[in-house]
Formats: sequence, C-alpha cells, structure tokens
Amino acid sequence: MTGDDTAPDVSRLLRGIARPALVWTAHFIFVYAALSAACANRGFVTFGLVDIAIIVVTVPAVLAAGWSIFRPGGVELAVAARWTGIISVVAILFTAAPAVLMSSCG
Amino acid sequence: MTDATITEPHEQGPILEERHPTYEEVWATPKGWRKLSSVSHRVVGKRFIVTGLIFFLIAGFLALLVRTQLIVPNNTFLDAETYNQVFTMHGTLMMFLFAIPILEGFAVYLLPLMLGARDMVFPRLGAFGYWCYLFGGIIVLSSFLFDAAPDGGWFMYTPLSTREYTEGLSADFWLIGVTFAEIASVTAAVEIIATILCTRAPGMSLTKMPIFGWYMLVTAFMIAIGFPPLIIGSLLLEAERVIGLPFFDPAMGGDPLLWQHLFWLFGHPEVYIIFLPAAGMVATMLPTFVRQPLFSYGFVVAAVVTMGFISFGLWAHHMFSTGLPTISLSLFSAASTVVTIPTGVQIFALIGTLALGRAQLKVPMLFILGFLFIFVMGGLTGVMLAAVPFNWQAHDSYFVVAHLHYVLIGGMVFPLIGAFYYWTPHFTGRMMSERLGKWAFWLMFSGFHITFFLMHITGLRGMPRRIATYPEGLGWDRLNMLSTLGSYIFAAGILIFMLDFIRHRWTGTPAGRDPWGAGTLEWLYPAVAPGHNFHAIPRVTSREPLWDDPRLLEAEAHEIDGSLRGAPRGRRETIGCHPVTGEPHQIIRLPHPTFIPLWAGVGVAVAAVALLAGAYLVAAAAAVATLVIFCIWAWEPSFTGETHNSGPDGVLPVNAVSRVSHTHVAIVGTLLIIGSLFASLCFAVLYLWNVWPSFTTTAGLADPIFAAAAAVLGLGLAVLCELGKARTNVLADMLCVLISLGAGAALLWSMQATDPLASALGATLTVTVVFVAIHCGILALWSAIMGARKLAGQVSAEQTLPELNRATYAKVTGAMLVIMALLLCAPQLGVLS
Repeated sequence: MTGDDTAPDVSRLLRGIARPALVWTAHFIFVYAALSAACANRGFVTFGLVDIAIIVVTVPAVLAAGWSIFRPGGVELAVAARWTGIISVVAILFTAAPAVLMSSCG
Repeated sequence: MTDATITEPHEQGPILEERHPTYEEVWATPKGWRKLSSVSHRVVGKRFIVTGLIFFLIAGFLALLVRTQLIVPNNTFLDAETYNQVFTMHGTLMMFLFAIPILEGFAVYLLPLMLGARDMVFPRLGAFGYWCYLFGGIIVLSSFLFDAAPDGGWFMYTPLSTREYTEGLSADFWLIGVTFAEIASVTAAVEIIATILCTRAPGMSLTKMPIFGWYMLVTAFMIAIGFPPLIIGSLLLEAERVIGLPFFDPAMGGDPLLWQHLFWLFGHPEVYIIFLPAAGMVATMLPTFVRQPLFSYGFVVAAVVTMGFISFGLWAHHMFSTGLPTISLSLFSAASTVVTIPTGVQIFALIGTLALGRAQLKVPMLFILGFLFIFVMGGLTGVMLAAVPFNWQAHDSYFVVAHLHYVLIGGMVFPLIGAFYYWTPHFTGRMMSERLGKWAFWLMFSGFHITFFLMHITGLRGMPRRIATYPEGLGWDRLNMLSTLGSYIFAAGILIFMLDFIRHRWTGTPAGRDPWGAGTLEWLYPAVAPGHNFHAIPRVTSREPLWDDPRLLEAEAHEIDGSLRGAPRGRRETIGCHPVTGEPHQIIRLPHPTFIPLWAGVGVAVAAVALLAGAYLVAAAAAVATLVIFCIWAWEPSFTGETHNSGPDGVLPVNAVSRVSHTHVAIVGTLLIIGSLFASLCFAVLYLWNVWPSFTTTAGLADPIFAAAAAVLGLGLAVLCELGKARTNVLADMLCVLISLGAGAALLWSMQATDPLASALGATLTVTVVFVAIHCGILALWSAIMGARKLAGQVSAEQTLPELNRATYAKVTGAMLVIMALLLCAPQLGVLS
C-alpha cells in the first residue's frame, strides 16, 4: 500500500516525520548548551537553574515530538511518522535523563 | 542494432544510432581524450567508483604493512616513523578517499536510473566534484614522494599536528588535500538532494521512491551538515600552522579540544554517512533475492530519518577520556545508546524481509548475510563502548580497533562488494563469476573474523593501538600472529574479487535484461549500458515497477511509452517533478559535455599546491583564475519562458520559476552547507569564550556602530532581494552589489580593534567575520553577473529564476550579518561580557 499521493497529504506526513526529529535536535542543542553554560570554566549559570530549565523544556519537547505517535492511518509514511515520534520521544527522555538524575556537573 | 538483439554485450556507447539518430547524438559520450569533457552521470559515477577502488587497494596494502609489522614482537620491518605514516595514511585513504567517494559514485551512477531521470540534475557540478576528489587524493598521496606523509593519525589531533610538534609539510598535505577532496562530497550532496527531490519519473511520489532514494537523501543531508565542521577545523588548523593564529594554543586562550569537537562533529556522523548508503544498497538488493518487497518500508524510513538526526548527538563519545564533566559524558553515553534503536529497526526490517521468502544464495546475497552478521557484532561492541566505565577501560586499545573495523568493514565493505557483484552487469554487460565470488566471500569472511575478532581479546589484554611494536611475553604475541595471518586471508579474498572484476570484462557470461529479476527501474534497459537513459520516461505506479507493471519488460526498453520522447530540440532534457508528489511540473534542460569543470578543478588544484609550496602569489592568481572560470560557467543562456509538449504529461515549461525548481532546491542545499559552516565557527567562538573566560578582554571589543550598520544593511539586502524577486531590474542588481559590499566592509571595519594574533577568541571572531564578509562578496559578484547579463541582452522579462534564488541566499546572508552583529555587540550590551 502506498497510500494517498496528493501533495497536501504527503506533505502533512512528511512534516509528521520531520517534526519529532527536529524537536529532538532543538532539545539536544538546548541541553548541551545549558550543561556547557553551567559546567565549563565560565560558570555562566548555576547547575540548579539548568536542571530546572531542562525539565521544563523537556515536557513540551516530549509533547511536540510525541504528537506524531497518534497520527492515524496505515499508509507507510504514516507508520514512518509514528515511529519517528516514538524513537524521538525515547531519545529526548534519554537526553534529559542525566540532568534529571545527577545533582551536579560531576 | 536494437537493444533486444545484443551481440556484443561488452560494447559501450550508443547502440541505436539508426533508429534514434538525434537522441543518440545528443546523449553520446565524446570519444578519445575528449571523454574528459563528459559530464554524464554514468561516466562521472564510474570515475568515482574506479578511483575509489584504487584508493581502497592502496589503503589495503598499507593495512597489510601494518599487520606485517605487528606479526611478531620487536619487529623491525618498519621503523616507528614509517609505521606512523603507514597507519595514518591507511585511515585517511579509507575514510576520506575510499568509503564516501565510492558510495557517492554508486549513487551518482544509480540514482538517475532508479528514479527515472536521464542524468543527475547538475552534471557539471558532479564532474567538478570528481576532479576535486581526484586532485585532492593525489595531493594527499603525493606526500609519500616528498617523504612528508602525514603521521599524526587519521584524526590529526592537536597539539601534535601543530607546527610546534609537526614541522615540515606532512600535516599541511593532509589538511589541504583532505579539505580539497571534501569539496567533492559536499558538491555531490547538493547534487544528490536536488536530483532525488526534483527529477523523479512521473508519478514517483516519495511513497513510491525506491528505498535507496530515502537512504541517499538522508545521507546527502547529513553530508551537507556534517562535513562543514571538519572543513572549518582544517582551515583553522592550517591557518594556525601558516599564519600563527592561535586557535588551539592554550597559552593564548585556545584549546586543543576545540579541534576534537570540530573533528568528531564531522567524524561520528561520518560513520553513519558511510553506513547508510551501504545499508540502502542492502535494502535494495535483498528483496530481489527474496522475491518480496522490503518488509516495513515505513519503519525503515522512520529509522533512517531518526538515525540521520541522532547520529549528530554522539560526537563526544570519542572524547570520554579527555576530562569532560561527568554529566557531559552521561549525556553522550545516553545518546550513543539510543542510536541503537533506529539501527535495530533497520536490521529487524532486513531480517523480516529475509523471513518473507526463501532467499537465493547468490554471491550478493552471501555478502548481505555477511553484512548482517558482522555489523550486528560491531553494533553490540558499540553499545559496550557507549558505557563510560567500559570506554575508559578500552580506550585507545585494540578493542576499539576491532569495533570500528566490525562496523565499517561489516557495515560498508561487505555490502559494497555485494553491490559490485549485483550491479557490475550495468557497467560491462557481463556477469561476474558465482564460483570466484563465493571464494572471495568465504576468504574475506573467515579472514575478517580471524583478524578482527581476536583484536577484541588483544585489546582487553591491554595492547594499545598505534604502537609500532611490542615486547614479547605480554600475552599479545600469538593473537597478533593470528590477526596478521587472518589479514592475509582477507586480502586473498579481495585479490580474488579484483581478479574476477578484471576477468569478467572479457570472459564473463553476457548478462540479459534484468539478470537478477529485480523490480527497480535501473534494470529496465538491457544490461549493456546504452550510454544514456530513458528514450521516454515511463510513468511509475509502484516502488517495484518491473514487478508490478509487466508491460515494462515485455516491450523493448526504448519503445516504452512515456514523457519527453527522444530529443526533438537537439538538447539534453529530463522531466522535473514536484518534490513530494512526483508529478511533472517542468522540463529541465541539462548541459552538454564541457571542459569547464575540469578547468575549474585544475584551478583549485593549482591554488592548493601553491599554498603547500608557500607560493602565495601563485595561489592567489589560481584562485582568481578559478573565479573567472566559475563566472564563465555561470554565463550561459537562460531557457526559462519556453514551453514544450512533453507527451502524456502535456505542455510543460522549461526551467520553471518555482520554489520547488531544481536550482532553488540546490540553493537551499547549498545554504544548509553554508549555515553549517557558520554554525561551526559560532560554536568555536562560544566554546572558547566559555572555556577560557580570562581571554575575553584580550580579544578586544568590536565597534558596535559598524556592526549594527552591517546588520541593518543585511536586513535591507534581504528585503530588497525579496521585493525584487518577481521581476528583472538592473538597478536592483546594482543596488544589491553596493549594499552587499557595504555590509561586508562595515562588518570587517567593526573588527579593527581586534588583534587576531593576540588571542584565540579574537582570531576565531576575525575568521567568522571574514567568512560572513566573503558571503557578502559572493552576493555582490552574483548580482553583478545578473546585472551584466541583463545589460548584454541575455535575459528576458520572465526569466526571474536567478532573482528567486538570490532572494533566498540574501535572506541567509542577512541572517548571518545580524547574528554576527549580535555576537560582536553582546559584550557592550552586557550579555556576554
């Protein structure tokens, strides 16, 4: 089955595939930058602040990436969008985990 | 002679002169020395493949030297200095000059055939990329002739590679040669993106695209984003070596780890850039031998896309022992673990496909099974290395050497050799030998495991990598002996493959049409390459058109119905499609053979060699000459405004003015590369600022007035180009020239208080400013050429494609000017002081 090939449908599905991965990218960059700001020599911000910021940012990131998981339809690109969502949500949670589980830069 | 009655299967070139004389003439490959002017994807693709194969053999020979040196303890076969050169060049040739270029060669050759296009969409760019690759490779390799072969390891770590510790030219050969060769990769990336998105056969929506297309699309985007950090790193290191800008000197606020960050920002995604095309080949070949479509296409697309993204979040797992904060180690350890999910999804999809039917154990299938077995083992040791404590233990030991060879040889070399057996009939019209192929496989498979499985144990017993010899009695002697013998067995397998590859050209069984019974479009024509593709481009209704539409193989290939039959206008043309739906929306006019790409490549090569020789005036002259050649390249008639009947798909415009046209898609691809270059520089600035706060004041403050002026001019430039994109106007072009030059000059002027030699931060800021100013200069030159073409009467009112493309380019240039101004003014604003 190759599904509906009209431009709006395929474009919608493509956005559904790309969005979770882009959300993971933005979230990863934020987490890396925040940890660098807290843990490098300059000590631009405190670790406690970074810890809270990462938790706060992770919630909407999971929601935005997870949106694709509930995309209906059995066509292959809909399946691709769902699985991109699932993998990206797991990746976002993995990315946030160190900041949540650790209490200092170490 | 028709293509259905082939009597000389090995013969190349046009075979239908009598029945389609105009078409054959238009698409003919020039003969003799003039073949150097060919820009056809078949010729360029084969050049990449053959050149890559030669580099592979050279690098393999170097690997045998390494193994021979290590066969017994206290060996004196190679001295330490030569040993360092040999393993450095082995890694460099394999990673930069073999793995990526040869896969790109297969992509350049196969993609148009699979997608239903007559050629890649930018044939001259592909040819230029090949010459850059060839000349860059020759530069790197020629270092042996001057006894200046690089010896700092394939990742050229600082401070070892700085002038202080590596005198002479060896590191310069590496930096200039590799950077030069990388031009080929990024140009190929742009070409592949635009070809996949814009030249598919009518009806080939993204859901009907062969899976290899998805793999190559993601790979091309990864190259566009992943290669720039190394290009920037190489330029910075070369600038430190030649001019003395202290990017990596801790005494001046620099940091050797900055090089590692930039290198591995490229280096880790590169592993996936190598793996993905090879996995795409496997996912294409496997269904043929199982006689079933790929299992779970949607899962694979999801896995490929997410792998493309997540692989950029792993770079620092190569830096676990450099003293990064524990939380950073945890972050990259988590990312390294999670990337196994998309990898596993792909592997399970392949196993699922295997389970759908009874696989025919032909030679390509053996190599596919070898790939699955070896790559999974390499992946498992990768998960082990993602765990920080184990990584610390195994760091820089032979365990890591074993792991990376399991991943790269299993994940790339085995699929590649399988691909040679599968697609070689396309190149020569003959089949390679099943018997010799099986010998090659079993020798390679057994030799590989003897060599590299034992290295895990050698590494766990503590043997460090990159040591020229070792004392006896440490428990490494027998393991090294066996590893070396295994490498000889592996090499014997490669030798048999090469002998078969050469032999079959004359004595191989002639291949019939679709010799494997494959379903993808590249097998539509008989295996004898006619020198060009589709006489008419058929409508595609499924992912396996040759399985699902029996009419395609019932008729002679050149008589199949389709769009754009023949070459009635005496020009090379192909169908341009909507990137998403695959429906035709334009006719793309393609260039004929030309020497321009070769001259441009020679120009860059002369500049590179002159830089190496310290002949800076010659280098500058060559750079100017290259710029002139590019201007000649750009000075060609525009065909926008013409419309022609394409046949079943009706009347279509030529080179349509559209955001989804191939040139605009290519501009977007190019801007991705430029954006990644700029982001790499910004990363370097912020990294140094963050790591060495005490040097912030030494860098000096920028002039906020001039920086702000540059930003305002940048915004004005973007607005002007956006408003003027719908009409041709010489005055607007001239205004763009002035504003671009003004913005670049203002930005440069704002840095007058900064001494780039005084601190690493100042040097990095200066280079970033110069980078943005260069783009202002490019925009000025572009606008000047557009204006000159109009003044010369070459452009009519509706030919506004360059205006559309320039508007997009100007927006990004404007954004870079604004970001740069913010970065420069931040200290005055009290934000980043």
